[in-house]
Amino acid sequence: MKTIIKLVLASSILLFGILSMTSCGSSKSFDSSLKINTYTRDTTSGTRDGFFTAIGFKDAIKDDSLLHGVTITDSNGTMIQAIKNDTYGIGYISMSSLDGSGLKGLNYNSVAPTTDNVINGSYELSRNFNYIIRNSADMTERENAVVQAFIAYMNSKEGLAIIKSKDGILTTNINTAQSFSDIVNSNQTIKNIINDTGASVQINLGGSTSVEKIATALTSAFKEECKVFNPVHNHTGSSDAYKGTQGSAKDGTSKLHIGFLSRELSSSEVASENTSGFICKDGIVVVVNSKNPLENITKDKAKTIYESTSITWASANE
Amino acid sequence: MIFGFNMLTNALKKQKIDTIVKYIFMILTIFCAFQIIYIVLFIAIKGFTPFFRSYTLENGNIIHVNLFEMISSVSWNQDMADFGLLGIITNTIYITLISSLIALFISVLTALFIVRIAPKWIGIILNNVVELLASIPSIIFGLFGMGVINPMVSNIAFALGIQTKGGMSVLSVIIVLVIMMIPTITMITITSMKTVKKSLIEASLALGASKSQTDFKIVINSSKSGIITAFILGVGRALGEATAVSMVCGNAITGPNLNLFDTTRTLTSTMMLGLHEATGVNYDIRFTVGIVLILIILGTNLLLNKVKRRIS
Repeated sequence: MKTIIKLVLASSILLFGILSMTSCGSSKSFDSSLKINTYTRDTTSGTRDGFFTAIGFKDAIKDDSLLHGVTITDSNGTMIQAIKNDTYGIGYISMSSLDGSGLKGLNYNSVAPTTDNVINGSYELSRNFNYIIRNSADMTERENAVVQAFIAYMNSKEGLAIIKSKDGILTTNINTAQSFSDIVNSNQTIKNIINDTGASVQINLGGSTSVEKIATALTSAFKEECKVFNPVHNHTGSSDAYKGTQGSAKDGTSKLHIGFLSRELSSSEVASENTSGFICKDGIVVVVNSKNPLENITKDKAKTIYESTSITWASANE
Repeated sequence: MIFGFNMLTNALKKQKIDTIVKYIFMILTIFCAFQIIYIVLFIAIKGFTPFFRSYTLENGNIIHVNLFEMISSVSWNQDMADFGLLGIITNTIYITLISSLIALFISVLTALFIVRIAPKWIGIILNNVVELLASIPSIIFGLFGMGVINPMVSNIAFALGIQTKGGMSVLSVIIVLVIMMIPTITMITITSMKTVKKSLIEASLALGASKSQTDFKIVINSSKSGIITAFILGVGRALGEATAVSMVCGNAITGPNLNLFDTTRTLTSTMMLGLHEATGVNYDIRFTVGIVLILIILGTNLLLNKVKRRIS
C-alpha cells in the first residue's frame, strides 16, 4: 500500500514537472509559414475605433462579422497577455501600455511608435482629441461662465495631469502650465462662478465615445472645484459634437454645451471663433509577439491582415 | 412575597426579550427572501425590455429585438442587431457537460481515496488542500488559466500540429472549469461518504467482497444522493462562471464551436465582454442573456433533482 502511494506521489510530481516544462518551454523559432492570428478589442472600445479609423477599415468598428476568425479581448491588459501567449498573434494597444508590456510595438509606415513622433505628427496611428462649445449667445450667463471655467480647468496643470493619467498624450509641458488657482485669481468671471453657491447649472457634455474616459475624469474632478457644476454626459459619437453645440441639433433635446471629437472638425462643420480647441493626442500601437521578426507595418498591410480570412506571416511580409 | 414578584417580572422580561428576538429574526429572514424576489424581478424587467421597445443604432438604423430570432439564430453581433443565442447556448451546454463529467469522475475518486484508501494523515492533508482550493476566487483561476493553462494548451496543440490562438480554446475553458469544480464536488462527496454506515461496509467485507468492491459497490452506491447534490452545485458553478471563463475562452465571433482547440464564447462571457462601456441595446441585451442563463441553470437543477429522486 505504502509503495503504491509513494509511486502515485512520485508520478504526480513528475507529471507536474512535465506540464510546467511544456508551459514554459516554447522557445521554438518563429515559423512564418503559419497563419496570422488577429486580435481585437470589443466594440465598445475607443482604441478599436481609433485603430480601424486610422487603417481605413471603418466598417469594422462596430461589426465583428467583418473580422474573420478574430479573437476579442476586453481590455489592454487581456490583449497584452493574449499576444504574449500567441507567437503568431497581432493586435493593437494604447501607446501608454506599450512600455513594460513585453510585446514588440511595430513601426507604422516606417515611423517608430514614440510619444515624440506622435507630438510632431509623423506617427500616423494617432488622432487628436478636440472640443467644441456653444456660442456664448446661445447660453445663459451662468452657463457660459461654467463652460469657460471648465475649459480653463482643462488647460490648467491639474486638468493636464488628469488627461495624462487617462492616457492622453500632451503637446504642452505640464510643468510650465498655470495651476488652476492662478487662473481663478486672474479671471474675475471664473472666480465668481467658482465661489457661486446658488442653484446648480446643468452642463450637457457629449460627442466622441473615445474621449468619454478623459471627459468624465475631468468633469468629476472639476465638480470639486466648482460646486454649481452639474455635468450630464451623453457620448454618442464625434459627429454629434458639432451638431449638438452649433449645428442642426443645437436647440433640440440632444443639445450640448460641450462636444468632444476624436478627429478634426470637417470642412462642413464651421465653428465660430474661439469656440473650439485641442485637448490632447491619442496614440495606438500595433503589437506582435517578441519572437516575431516583423518590424514595420503599413496602413494597407494592417487592413489586409484584419480583412483576410486566413493569411500567413510569410505572405504578409511580402 | 416580594421575592416571588421579582421572579415573575424576571420571567416576563425574558419572555419580552424572546419576542423581540423572534421579530428581529423574522425581519431579517423577510429581508433576505425579498432580496431574491427583488433581484429576479429586476433582471426580468430589465431583460424583457428589449422586446418591447425599439433602439436607434449609431448608424441610424432603428431595430427591434425579436425573441424567436434570438433563440433560433446562431449569429451574434450585438452592434449590428444580430442577437442569435443558439450558438452561444450550444457552446455553454457543451462545455459544461464535458467539464462537469470530467470533474465528477475525478472528484468522486478523490473523495473515495481521501475517505477510504489514504492513510489518515494523508487524508487530513488532502482534505485541507481541497478546502483551500474551494475558497480561491475565480479571478485567480482566470489569471492561472491565462498564464499557465493557455500556453500549455498551445504547446500541446503545436505538438499535434494544430495552431491555436495562443491556447485560448474550448479545452482551456474545460480545464479551468474542471479545476474550479473539483473542490466543490469533492468536499460534499467526502461529507456524504463519511456518513455511510460502518455496519454496511463491514457486512460487505464479511461477505467476502474485496476492499475495492466494497468501495465502489457499497460506499459510492450509498452516497449517491450526496454525490448528485455535489454535482448540482458543481454544474451551477460551471454554468455561472464568468470571469475565469471570459479570460481564457477568446470570445469567438462565430459559433457554435465544438472543436477543442478553437476559441469559443459562452453566455457568461458574452454578458461580460465590454460591459463597462456598453450603452443602449448592447447593455440591455445582457440582461436578456442573463434570463436565458437563469432559465438554463433552473432547468439543469430540476433535471438533476429528478434524476436524484429516481436513483434514491
